[in-house]
Amino acid sequence: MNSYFKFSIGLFIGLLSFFSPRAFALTEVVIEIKDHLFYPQNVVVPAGKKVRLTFINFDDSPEEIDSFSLNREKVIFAKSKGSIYIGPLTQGEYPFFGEFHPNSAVGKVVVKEQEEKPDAH
Amino acid sequence: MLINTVVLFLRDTLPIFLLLSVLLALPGVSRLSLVWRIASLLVTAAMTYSYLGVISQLAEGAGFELLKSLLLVSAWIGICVLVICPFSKRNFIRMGITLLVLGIGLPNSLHFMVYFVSGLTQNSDSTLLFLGTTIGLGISISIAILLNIALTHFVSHKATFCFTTLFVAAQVANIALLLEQIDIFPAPQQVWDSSHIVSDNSEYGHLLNALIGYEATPSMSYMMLFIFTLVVPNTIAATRKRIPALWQQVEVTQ
Repeated sequence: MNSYFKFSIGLFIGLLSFFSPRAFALTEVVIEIKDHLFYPQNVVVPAGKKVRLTFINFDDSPEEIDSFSLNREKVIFAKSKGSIYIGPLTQGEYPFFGEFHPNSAVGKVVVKEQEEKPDAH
Repeated sequence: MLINTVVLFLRDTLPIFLLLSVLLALPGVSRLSLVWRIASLLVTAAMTYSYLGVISQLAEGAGFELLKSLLLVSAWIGICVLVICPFSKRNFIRMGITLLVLGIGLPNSLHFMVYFVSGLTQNSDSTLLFLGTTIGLGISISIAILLNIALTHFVSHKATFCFTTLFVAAQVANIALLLEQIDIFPAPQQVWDSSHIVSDNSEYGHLLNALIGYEATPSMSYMMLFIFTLVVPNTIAATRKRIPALWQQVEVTQ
């Protein structure tokens, strides 16, 4: 029993070490969804860093954020918000779109070198 | 809206049809047993849908991802139960099939329900929504029938079993993506990029993803989870050396 207990503790600590700690001072970018459009449409984030994208949906209907290049997919329900973590990414543009309104809800994450501060356009 | 509905239907519900196709190709799994489970799945999905908004806000907005991850884990437990339990323990076998159907069916059906109900409430004319759903249903059924014919007529039971574990591993490996995006798994390290060969958003990309878990840019976590969930049931089956024969003995009728 004692060895099982030790093994469990060891396994737990091992699993904890596998998880990344919720980043200290993570860069957060807020994107609003209004009338099936993203505000802002383009967001600039630093290269090589993990970033939290928070989507706030002001619409009366849900929206599903999808990005093939970022490998992300998340439903944001009506009048609610949700976050996804992206990165660290290399320089480039990573488009995303609203799966339920793909013609209007489009945006992209622009990844630039670190010295440029994260900003929203 | 028509094309979007077809695309979303295929993305969300094709895995369910493929699962049914694969299960029907296994000796011993009857249609009746699956009909009963599909009915249970639909009822459970309808009940869960009403709480989805609340669930999604749990755990700092990661509730839906955690729910889907739990369901996918239960699907993997289901395939392991099918491998481990001797067929004499029919209740366990039934439980294994139920876990598979609910574990893979529920997350996918909930996704499409969100879109479908949203489309119904937003648009006064839902003709395109229903038409798209019907077309998607036709395509899904066609692919499922073709897969079932291929598995039952052209390959051995052992190959069918291996494909079943591959299919389940492909679904379960999505846990890595879900946990990466809510920052529980470590930041993704891309293993390769084959999007210039088959892109994730192409028709082949969708189909291969549903069938064998193809990702154009898989992360290390995804690959590790995929391999783990594939190897474990196959290793158990290989060491026991009785899986195909086992499913030939008795039919699961409930």
